Amino acid sequence: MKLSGVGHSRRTVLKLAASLMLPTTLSAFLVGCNPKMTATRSAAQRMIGVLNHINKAREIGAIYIDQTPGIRQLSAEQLTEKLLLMLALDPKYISTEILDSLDTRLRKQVRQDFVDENVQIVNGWMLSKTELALCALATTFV
Amino acid sequence: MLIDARTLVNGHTVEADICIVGAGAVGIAMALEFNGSNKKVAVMESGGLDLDSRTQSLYEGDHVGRPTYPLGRNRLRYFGGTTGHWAGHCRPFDQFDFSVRDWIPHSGWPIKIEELEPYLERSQPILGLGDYDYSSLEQYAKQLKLETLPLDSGRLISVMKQQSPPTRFGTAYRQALKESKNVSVYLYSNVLELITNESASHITRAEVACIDGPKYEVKAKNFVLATGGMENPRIMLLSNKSAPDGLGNSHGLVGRFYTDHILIRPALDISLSRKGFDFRLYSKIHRMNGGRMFGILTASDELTRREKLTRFRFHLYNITPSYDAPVGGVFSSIDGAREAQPLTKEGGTYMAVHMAMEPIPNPDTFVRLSAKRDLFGQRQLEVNWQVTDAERSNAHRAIELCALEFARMGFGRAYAPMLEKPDEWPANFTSGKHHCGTTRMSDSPKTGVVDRNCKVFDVDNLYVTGSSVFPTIGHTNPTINLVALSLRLADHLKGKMA
Repeated sequence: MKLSGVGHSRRTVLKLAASLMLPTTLSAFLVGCNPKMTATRSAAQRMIGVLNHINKAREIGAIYIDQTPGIRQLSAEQLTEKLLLMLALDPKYISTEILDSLDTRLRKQVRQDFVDENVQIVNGWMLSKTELALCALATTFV
Repeated sequence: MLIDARTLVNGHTVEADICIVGAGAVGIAMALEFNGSNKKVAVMESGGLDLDSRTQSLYEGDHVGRPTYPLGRNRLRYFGGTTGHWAGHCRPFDQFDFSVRDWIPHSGWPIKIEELEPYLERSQPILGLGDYDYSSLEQYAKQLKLETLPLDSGRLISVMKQQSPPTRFGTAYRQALKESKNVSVYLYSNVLELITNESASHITRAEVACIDGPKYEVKAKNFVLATGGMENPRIMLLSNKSAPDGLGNSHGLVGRFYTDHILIRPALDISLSRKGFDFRLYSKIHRMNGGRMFGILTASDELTRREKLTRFRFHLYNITPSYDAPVGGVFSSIDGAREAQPLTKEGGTYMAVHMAMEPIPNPDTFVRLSAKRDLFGQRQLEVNWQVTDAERSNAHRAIELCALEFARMGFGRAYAPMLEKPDEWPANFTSGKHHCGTTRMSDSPKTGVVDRNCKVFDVDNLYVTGSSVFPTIGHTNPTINLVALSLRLADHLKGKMA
């Protein structure tokens, strides 16, 4: 069925609405935020985007948070900053280039964690502390 | 020839140059070495050509330590012995296995691997194996258009194992021994005791009995025990007329240092984060020159030394993993996959890793005679197998290293109960049915039962061969190594009797 006056099907409209939802929500978050906060949130989103099966990642994150007192207290912003520090980045200076390099940096760092044995066991699974922090961020970030 | 000893008359005497007790891999390999020679060889086999329950019951015994496979079922007592259910995996010991490792008490063989090498090579065709080549995994991988894992060689390495058909000695060599003119295999013949002179320094005869049949004796110039890691010490302990503690047991070592591989199957399960790597080099058996082979993982010597570990090996299998909810797919992008692995247990999303680990030689693990008796009124065995905290911590570290490597290579994440609870052995750990160490080889009677030629200290014509003489057992399967040792002993005896 076509909507009157617009050459789109209902499905297309729904798709469009859904695709607008995330940026809209994000913009709502960003309203009133300072530039540093915006950059941190962008970094958080970029990093979380590296994870697949986000619900499962959040489950892992929840268990990790539960068993790691040092992580439990941290807000999403603090977790993001922690992760950026783990990637040897200064959270105060997040440029577009840095945002674009986050995927690669994360991959490298996770690999390095398994070299350095920077790992933790979660429910019998050996996971790198960087990827666990990432899962924790996915759990905390709204 | 094959002789059914039940047809002999009571009190019969067999005379031979060599009496080999046991017709399993070791006894048959040795007998074949003398086939066609001018030496008269008598092989005493407890069973017949087929398994029968009464003969098999002679293996019954008890575990008084950590229980593992029932004694009456973990070995086969008939012509061909335990090769009747052998899996056929072969890889020789290496120099590292034979070395003294200062972090492993009682380690070190009195002989060098070079002394065994020619016999290892000669063992290959006996076991139905290909070329004597265990170093060409990469080359075979290329031929197969497969790859070895990109391991950090400072941690784990890929090595090659060969796969015997497996050779069932009882059928493979039956005809050769049946047709032999100088080797006689006496079936249904149970050696009850070795009788010595007064000083217990020379065997004069073996007392033999058939179930519901005659008793007879074997007189030979040399006697060789080839009945496996449990029965070798048992016969020595039962032979106590002149030596009350048993033959060769003046230092109380016969039966001590009983050892076996520690198996955890699976030790860990990998939830693969990406498709693309073909694990078949490791998970399937492939043709090689004259035989078949596959890849396994083991620790590099460098790592073993650096971390003061015992040796271990990993086998990879495509079998359903023990975890419920896979996590590998969560990290697909991190591991460089183009698409996420599903979070289901579909084929191609997992890999099971089985581990076999070398134990630390331990004088407090042993086999000894119990109060229970078998059909002949002979004392049965009781086995005290123990595993130590040091071994548990070694196993935990081995599992950690494997988990780290699979993740570092970007193949997935590992699940293992032992990662979660390093202070507990997992429920699925067991022994390898590789009974070793009970008559260990040494240069001194204070630390071993046999000398470097497998001769029992203080008994001039008694030899013991097989896995019972191994002082340490590495990570590899014992069969090719025990066959090689037997061929070496055969050469020694040929020289002695020349």
